[in-house]
Amino acid sequence: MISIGRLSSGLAAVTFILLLAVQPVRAHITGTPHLVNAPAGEYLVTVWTAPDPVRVDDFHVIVGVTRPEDPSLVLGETVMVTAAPVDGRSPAVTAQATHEQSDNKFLYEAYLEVEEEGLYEVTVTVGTAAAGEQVGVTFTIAVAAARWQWQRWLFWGGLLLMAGWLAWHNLPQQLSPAAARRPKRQHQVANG
Amino acid sequence: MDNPTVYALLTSWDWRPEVIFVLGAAAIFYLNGWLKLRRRGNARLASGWRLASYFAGLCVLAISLMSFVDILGGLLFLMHMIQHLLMLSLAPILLLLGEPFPMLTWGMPGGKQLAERLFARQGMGRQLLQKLPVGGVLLLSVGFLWGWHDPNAYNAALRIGWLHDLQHLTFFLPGMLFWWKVTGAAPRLHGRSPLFPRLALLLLMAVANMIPAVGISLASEPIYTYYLDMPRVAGIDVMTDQVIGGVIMWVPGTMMYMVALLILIFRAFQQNEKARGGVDNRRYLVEAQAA
Repeated sequence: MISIGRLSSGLAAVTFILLLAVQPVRAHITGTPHLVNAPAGEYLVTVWTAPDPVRVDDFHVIVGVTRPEDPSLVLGETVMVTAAPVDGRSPAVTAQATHEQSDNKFLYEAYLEVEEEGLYEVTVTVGTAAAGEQVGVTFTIAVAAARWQWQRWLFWGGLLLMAGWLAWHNLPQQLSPAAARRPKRQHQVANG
Repeated sequence: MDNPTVYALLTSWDWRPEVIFVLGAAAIFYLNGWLKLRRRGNARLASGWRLASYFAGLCVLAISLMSFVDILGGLLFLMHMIQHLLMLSLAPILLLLGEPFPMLTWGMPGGKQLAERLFARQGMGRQLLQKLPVGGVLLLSVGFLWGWHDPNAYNAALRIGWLHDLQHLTFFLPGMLFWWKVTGAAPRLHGRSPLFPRLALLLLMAVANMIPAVGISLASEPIYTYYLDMPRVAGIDVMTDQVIGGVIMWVPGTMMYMVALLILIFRAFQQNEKARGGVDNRRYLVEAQAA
């Protein structure tokens, strides 16, 4: 029969090793591409969304802007993103995509807070509205309902387990009568 | 590159809490073990250069996972090659030169018990590592290196998140295993670890690394078509990007193995000289006593 203490130690150790192995090598993917070099006035626009699928509480639009004569990314433009439900049940949501919100400072990113799940038409415009230069590109995307984010819970749960495991091993031995009765073991592997 | 481009490049960081946590924990546990071993008078094992090497390894990992090297890897092939080089060779070498096993064993709460369980005579870790031959490590490393540089696999890894994670994992873990064999770091389950198999391992890996690198560098058309659809950074076109990426894999990538090979040969000569010096000294002593 496995004791709860040993089981929690084992679980914590396995979780820690998994976190240690998997988390640090997580890759950085820009997102799911929707439009690639789509003409928007004098610009070409590439649009990604993240995560996949986007959700009511987690809906990011990432935009790359180039010019037809030069494929290098253009910085410092005004990029607006609007998401309107196809069935018109809820109001459209607009947000400015900026370099600051993006990890990749060559791209623009906006976070959209939509009210309901369903099909949305997303419009991305580049240029200044005052000069009447705004030209948009549009695509349709399905927004899923908010979901219990198990990865986040797994991560923080893992950390909690690990903290518990560390605390368990750091408890003074006299607090545990069972541990006090147990004969001390020799540690022979310590020096590798 | 103009100023906004340089600014955008240098500020493209993603401070990921999970990476910071894991690297931070690895740093604290190591430092704790290093201090304990030093206090016990084991300054030769817990030396300053080992500490510096281990922390440099953690910094290399942090750069490859959170800086523009990671973030721009989806847009620039050359950045992805730099990232692979850091994860496959530089980070494992620096980490293993720091002898993390004894430090973490001493520094992690419960570390000694865990090490005892894993590396006891019948422990799973000991069984697994002892049975892994040098050839198996080489096959594993070359298999993943060549497999992931296949255009279909590479393009798929850039499009699918979990596949990309798997790619990094299968570069980093075999990288650690490979350099563990080469450096002879603890846990010392390498057997007698003679010089020749380690030299052969390095030489074969250098050649295996050069084959795809040369192919990529000299290709006349884009191999990794994923990048054809991507907007370009700082005016670097797809072919230039591919050639630079291939050269990074070819020259610094191969150099890592060759430098390690030269260091091993140099150390073997040094040890040989020391041993010969000992024999000569003993002979002179005997001759002096006889005279």
